[in-house]
Amino acid sequence: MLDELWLELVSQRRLAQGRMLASIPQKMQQEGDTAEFQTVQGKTNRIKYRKHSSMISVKYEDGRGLTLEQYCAKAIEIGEDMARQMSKTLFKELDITTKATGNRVTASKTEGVHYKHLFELIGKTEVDFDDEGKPFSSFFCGLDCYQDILKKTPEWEKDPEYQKSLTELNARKRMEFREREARRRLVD
Amino acid sequence: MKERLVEDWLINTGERGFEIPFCQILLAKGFRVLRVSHSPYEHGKDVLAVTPKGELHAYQLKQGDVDLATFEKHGEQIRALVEADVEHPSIPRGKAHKPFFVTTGTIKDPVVDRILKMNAQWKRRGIPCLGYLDRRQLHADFLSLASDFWPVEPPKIRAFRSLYLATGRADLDKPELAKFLVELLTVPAGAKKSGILRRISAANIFTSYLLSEFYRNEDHWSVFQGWIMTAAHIAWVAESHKLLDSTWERPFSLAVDAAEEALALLVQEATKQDALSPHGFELDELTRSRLTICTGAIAAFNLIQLHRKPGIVIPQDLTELVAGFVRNGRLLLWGEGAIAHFLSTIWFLETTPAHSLSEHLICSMIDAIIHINAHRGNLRLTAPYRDPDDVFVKLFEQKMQIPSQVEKESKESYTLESLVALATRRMLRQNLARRWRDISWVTLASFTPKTPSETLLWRCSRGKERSYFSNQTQSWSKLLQQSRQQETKKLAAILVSRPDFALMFLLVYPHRVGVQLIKMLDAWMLN
Repeated sequence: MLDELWLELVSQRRLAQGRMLASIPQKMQQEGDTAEFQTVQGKTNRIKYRKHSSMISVKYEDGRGLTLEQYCAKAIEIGEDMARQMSKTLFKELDITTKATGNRVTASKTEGVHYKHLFELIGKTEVDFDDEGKPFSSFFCGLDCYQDILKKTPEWEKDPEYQKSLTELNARKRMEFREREARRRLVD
Repeated sequence: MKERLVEDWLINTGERGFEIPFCQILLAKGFRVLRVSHSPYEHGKDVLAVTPKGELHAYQLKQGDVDLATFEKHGEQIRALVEADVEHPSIPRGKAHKPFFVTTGTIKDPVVDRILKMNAQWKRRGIPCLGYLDRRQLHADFLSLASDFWPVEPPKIRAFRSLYLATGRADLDKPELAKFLVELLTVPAGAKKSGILRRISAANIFTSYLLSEFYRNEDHWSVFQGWIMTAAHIAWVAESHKLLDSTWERPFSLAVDAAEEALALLVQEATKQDALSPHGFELDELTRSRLTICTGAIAAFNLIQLHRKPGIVIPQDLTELVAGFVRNGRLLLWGEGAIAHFLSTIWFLETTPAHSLSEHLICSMIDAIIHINAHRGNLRLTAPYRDPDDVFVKLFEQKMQIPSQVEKESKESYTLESLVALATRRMLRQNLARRWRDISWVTLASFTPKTPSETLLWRCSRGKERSYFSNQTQSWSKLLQQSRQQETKKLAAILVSRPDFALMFLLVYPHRVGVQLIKMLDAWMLN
């Protein structure tokens, strides 16, 4: 029972620490030794398994076990280490995938991100729209980049060119979405 | 441990729990078991078997110690056992038989004396004498048959003890039973076929031990599941070692017969007045999940009878019971694990005047999957690997707002492809056309074991898991063609040759609800 609770704490800490990881839907494979998935483009990819392991060391004093705090701290230590390792793997895989598909844009370090970079990225990907016609898609960037975007957005919004480009982009993406959706049907 | 456990089991087991292992002992001695039954037409003969020398033996099985009063209580049955001729299609009328009185307890001395006196009378009349077997002989036989296969390492002993000591009030621990069966039936490389066959015999004996509490508590559903799993594992080891059918089909059939007997008892119980009402303080979800399981079981049992005796008529009250549950929304789709029970119900309804409900059920299930698993929502219909209890715990946590930080599960469906195939085979084109946009959004999932026989395992360590999509633009004619195409090569041979077993298997292994199995069963149903 205590072992199970300890493992639960490891898992909770892993999820709390790797928030981005936790936000991605995950699948627990129940059977088999291989797995593959189909991309939206129809390509089949084989899943590469990676083993992650984490070690802790405990130094006991004579005839004295761990206090409850020490016991829990070890679970937290492992959970955080697992989150770090898994995030590292995820970013590495993302890097390989985006390089291969070209779904990435690079901003110069000195000038930082510009809305054109964002629009270029949106232009390269499939954007879906909800029932009210609102676009929804998500992108990943580093914390610095995110803060840079937040800071610059009010300025961009004042720029008529930005508004025009955004409207055009929205319209183009909506048309693409409708075309894709129109393909989803049963024919003769 | 093993001597005491077998002794304990013999003391506590009932007649029904004892039947299969007793037959297994006869098979191990080279007997051919002709019949195992508890019917009013048996004339005191629960088991009929032919010895390797061709002698016909008839056995009456009883439970517990037999003193004179008990023996006299069974007087009529014993007289019928000895004096009435054996009636069996494979036995010439009037063929002499040797009768045996068998009990799991001890036959007391006055009874032995009585048997000797009765035998003297029967001998004078030229009638065969009554033999008897009690716990002492049975104990030795059971121990010797399975002696090499008892778990010996501490973790395995613990697991076995915990399975044996199950109270019989909770559900059968299927993963643990499966683990035990795989360990028992896995032979070392280069093992002789005779060794494999001994293990197969031992599987039936051990399952009888492990199900004894469930027999005692009349938990027919657990007994049914236990025997189906045993039969599936027997077929797995036989198919993977390419054993001749004649060498393993009898132990396999014994396990299937025991499962069917439990299914029949479950149906009998479920169709009694108020049998399916809540047991005291109970969540309605739990009541509805029980109704769903029982309805699937009732349906499967009757479908099997219909295929064996095509002329029989399903009682109207049974049809009304099942149709009533469907019409009143009393069945519960707790997750994809429930789909197997719904499929059984659909096939059953199609044989009744309420057949129009079956189309409604197919479309409702497709709707449930495409709406719950819609890519934009936060919900997901739980995978068929989860049983109702797991699902209810999650529901309860949500209701109680118990914070649980769990991973977001990916939205996939293991069953949608099968349901679409069923709808297509029934020409429900318009229904599918209306839903195709949403269907094409759902990620489909399937698992294919490395070899077809591994389908029979509870969990396969080898095999491929796939996630994929339906075609966005789908041609109806191709869909129709695919739905009619049988791909039985990917299925375990026993599932193809015994569709009746395949149907029962599906109820116990809901995660094997793959499109190949469903198309094969559907073709059998429509036959």
